[in-house]
Amino acid sequence: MIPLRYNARNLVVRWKTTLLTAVGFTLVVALLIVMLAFVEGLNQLSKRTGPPGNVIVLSDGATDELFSSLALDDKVAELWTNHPEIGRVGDRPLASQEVYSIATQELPPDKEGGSARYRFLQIRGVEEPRVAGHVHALPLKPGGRWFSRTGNEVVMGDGIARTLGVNTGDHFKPRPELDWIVAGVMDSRGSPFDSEIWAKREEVGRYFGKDNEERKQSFYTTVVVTTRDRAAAEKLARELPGRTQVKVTAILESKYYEELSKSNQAFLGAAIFIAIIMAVGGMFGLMNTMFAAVSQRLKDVGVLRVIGYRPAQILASFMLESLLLAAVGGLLGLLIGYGVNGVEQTGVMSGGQGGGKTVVFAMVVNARVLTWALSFTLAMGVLGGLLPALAAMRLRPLESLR
Amino acid sequence: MQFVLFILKNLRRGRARTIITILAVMLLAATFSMVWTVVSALQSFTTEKATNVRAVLTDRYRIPSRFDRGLMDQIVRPHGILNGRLRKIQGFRPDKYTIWHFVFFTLDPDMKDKDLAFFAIATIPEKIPVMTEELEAFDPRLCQRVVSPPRTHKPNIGLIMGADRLRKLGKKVGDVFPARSISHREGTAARRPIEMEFEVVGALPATGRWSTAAFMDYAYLDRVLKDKKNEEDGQVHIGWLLVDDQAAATAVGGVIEKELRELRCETAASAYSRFLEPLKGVFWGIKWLLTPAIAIVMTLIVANAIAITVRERGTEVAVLKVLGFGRGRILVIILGEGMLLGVAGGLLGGGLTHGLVNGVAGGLPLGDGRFHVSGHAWWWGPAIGAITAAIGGLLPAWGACRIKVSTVFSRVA
Repeated sequence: MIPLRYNARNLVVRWKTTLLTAVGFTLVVALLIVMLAFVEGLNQLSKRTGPPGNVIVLSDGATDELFSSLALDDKVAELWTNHPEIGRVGDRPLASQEVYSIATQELPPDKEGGSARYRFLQIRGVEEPRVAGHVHALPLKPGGRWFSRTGNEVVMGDGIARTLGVNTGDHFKPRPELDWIVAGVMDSRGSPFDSEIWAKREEVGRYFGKDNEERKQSFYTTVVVTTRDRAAAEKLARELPGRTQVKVTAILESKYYEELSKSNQAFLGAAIFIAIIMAVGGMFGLMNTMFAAVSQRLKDVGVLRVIGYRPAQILASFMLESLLLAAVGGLLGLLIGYGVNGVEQTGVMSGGQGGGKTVVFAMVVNARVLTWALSFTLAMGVLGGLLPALAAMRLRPLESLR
Repeated sequence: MQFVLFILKNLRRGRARTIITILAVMLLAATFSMVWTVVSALQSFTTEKATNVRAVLTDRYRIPSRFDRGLMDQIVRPHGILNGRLRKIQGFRPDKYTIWHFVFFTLDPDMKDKDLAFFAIATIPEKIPVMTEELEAFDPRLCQRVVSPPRTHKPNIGLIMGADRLRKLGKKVGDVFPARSISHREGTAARRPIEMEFEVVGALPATGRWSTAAFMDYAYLDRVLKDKKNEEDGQVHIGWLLVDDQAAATAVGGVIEKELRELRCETAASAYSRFLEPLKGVFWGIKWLLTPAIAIVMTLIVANAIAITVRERGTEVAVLKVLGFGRGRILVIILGEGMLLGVAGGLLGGGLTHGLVNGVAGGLPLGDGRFHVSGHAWWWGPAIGAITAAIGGLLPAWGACRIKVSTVFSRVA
């Protein structure tokens, strides 16, 4: 076997081309990791949605709670009563009736005489905040408490509390006639509820939802129930639409968020497509370097063949050199790319009906992302080195020495 | 001319390297063109226009937006108090308006299959070409058919649908079919989905942002919503105004927001910016990380190719120097080689992307829309190829200029 040191020293001797090729690889791999980390972060977020036994109930055909409407009438209680799968806390079923909406909060202009600025707030109206917290497995941070049925209190996710710069006891106005007091901040980091404000269902329905006081129409968008375990949840999700007169879609909550995050798959596809094209470009760069290495070392190859090295060993030697070059650049790219691990980003999870949920999440560089990137690097190294190595293998010893 | 021939001969001598480098630059220029297409499209959405400014009216405090159509009437109905005030603003055009109400339908009786769903905008048909961006050239006769469909003659049931969506649903112009609404339900206790009948009277272009959307008559939707006692009858989701310029947009917005506190009136560009706000970080990354990275990789590839060329042709450069070629001429020869590679690769990349993406793929699919690669890609490609090659080739070319004749010949000897 030709010693690896021979290849390594060749790379050092031609350090300029080695550096140029390796830096190209570094950039491609680092970018690939950033793009994959973004998608992985969103995917991880969609998996942290609460207990595995949660079932989300929407109106029939709705794929996004923003567009779901379940009339708040005498039949709606069918959705959470008399279903043995649903757990209980005391004498109450573990069911949270909710109305989800997005509010536009008007902010003062940046400068005097300028026009007003606006900010989106994700607001969820809940009937019983304590039960809702239990259903979504979201405890309050120390010092907070769940709001009561009376008064103008709300609780909010940790992320939105930081964005708004408020804490327990602070006031804020989502619209001029509403003065809300923060009763508590939820320990919601890493969950899709981190950017949400929870208020009384009636207020959210009236000011931000579809409720129509004149016609006495009120709506829930969502009912979330907690069952004993995943098997019970699957059974309930399957059977609930057939058990009630209200026409509904029932799915596992984890599946709902998984579906929402499918919009990220398009992003992932685009990211991989761009990375592949860039990688092929980088691979051609490597091919150039390796062809040059072969043409400069014709005599070396001839000598190696004369002293007994076989063509396959010549092939392996140049392939190894190509892989080494790719690995040097790629590993540096992995290190740089790893720097985005944990960096907070804002993204959108969308159900494909034009809605969407703005979420704050941490980019994730995990073993899967690193494996992808490393495989990519090695594949580029193999493909980029193959043709030049084959050319070197086919060289005839005497012709090479002439 | 002599120089160009000389450069071409040099490139032909290293045919494999020339082809590989051109291929690499071509692929990267193609990526650059695609990324830049998306970036520039998003930028155009969020860039304020100087004339023919679209102003969008929405509910001031909630999303999905909805408000009484009556409010829109106050703005555009002649002789109204608010309309009277707005008419005093130079650039306000009372006839240039429309309303939108979004409805999601499905052809699937079980309402499960997402591929059978479509999204329709209920609007005033005659206003479609006047008020819809990218549909200014749409045939107004087709809009008339929405009101009076030629096959069924049932009033207002016409539907104009994007070519892509028609294909996905397996429908064509002339087809008549029922569709169930996912978003709108009967106001009765049963809350059954509202069912409506449609006749496809026209297709929206397969290219552009409307390829998957549909337009229906607001009059038809409103009639059905009233009949079914739906909570959204008489309501619209968005109102549009077309005014002459930014000054008019600001003045009109100011009057409307003051008089109708429940409405917000802003330019379309400003509204798009706000909706894209959560993705600001992503767009920043695409613009300032991905795009420069592509350019840097291109630069490195050309730099590498030129560096190899210079190293291999050290003796040749020395001979040229002996023959009287000055540093400047050698620099031009080497840089010229690099730039020719860059321009050729860039031209192929930009041109092929334009032809293949638009002609074969029908645009870059992103979300529900398709982005078309601008014809400018024909010059973006060569320009980015030339610039990156010039930067990448500079150091190796400078190295060639500094080759010492005595050193090279002593080595040869």
